[in-house]
Amino acid sequence: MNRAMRDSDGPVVAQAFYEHLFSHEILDSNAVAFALDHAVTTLREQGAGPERWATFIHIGA
Amino acid sequence: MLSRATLKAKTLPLKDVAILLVAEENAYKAAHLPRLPYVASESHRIASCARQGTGVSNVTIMSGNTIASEVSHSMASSNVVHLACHGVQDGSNALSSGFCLSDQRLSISDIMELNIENGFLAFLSACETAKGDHKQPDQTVHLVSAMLFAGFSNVIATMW
Repeated sequence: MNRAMRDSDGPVVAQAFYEHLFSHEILDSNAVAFALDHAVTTLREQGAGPERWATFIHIGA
Repeated sequence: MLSRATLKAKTLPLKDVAILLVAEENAYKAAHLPRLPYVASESHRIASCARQGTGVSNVTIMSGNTIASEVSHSMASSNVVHLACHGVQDGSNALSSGFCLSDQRLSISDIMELNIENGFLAFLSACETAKGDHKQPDQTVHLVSAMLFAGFSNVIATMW
């Protein structure tokens, strides 16, 4: 198992995350958590295994 | 410190977003880390997301030849920070864990000195940003806690 976040996953996760985040007019912590869920789901739908998508976490409120 | 982070305003209107995008493809030489060919496109994709009629107008990109002191200075005036670079959790000295920029590490000790008034979100798109310390598993000294202490109320990170 590759023990690191994959470089090429960065743009995929980031784009899905910010597209979702910026679709809100006012950002709050819920928006952040849902945007990350959307980004991780996008990565999973592209066939990435858990060693790639499960590393991303949201901390804070 | 953590209570200070949670006391902050928990909402941020999109028009007030000041986003800082940091991308460093080549970590400083002594780090001996491989090139990251995708980080520059990562920050450009985020910038185009922001510019596509979302109302986010304050976008700063620092891509390549990033200097730790300049990055921390720009961080202080941003409320959303996205870091795409190498991250290292230092097993022997957790406080020197950090982001590998072009000149040196932007370490936890550097970040903890920042006081980011309006920090809302930090996205740490780097390795090992929430890994923690083997020797002190109950003392979560990692880049996420450093960003929370600095004043960002939401942090996205990677566990490996």
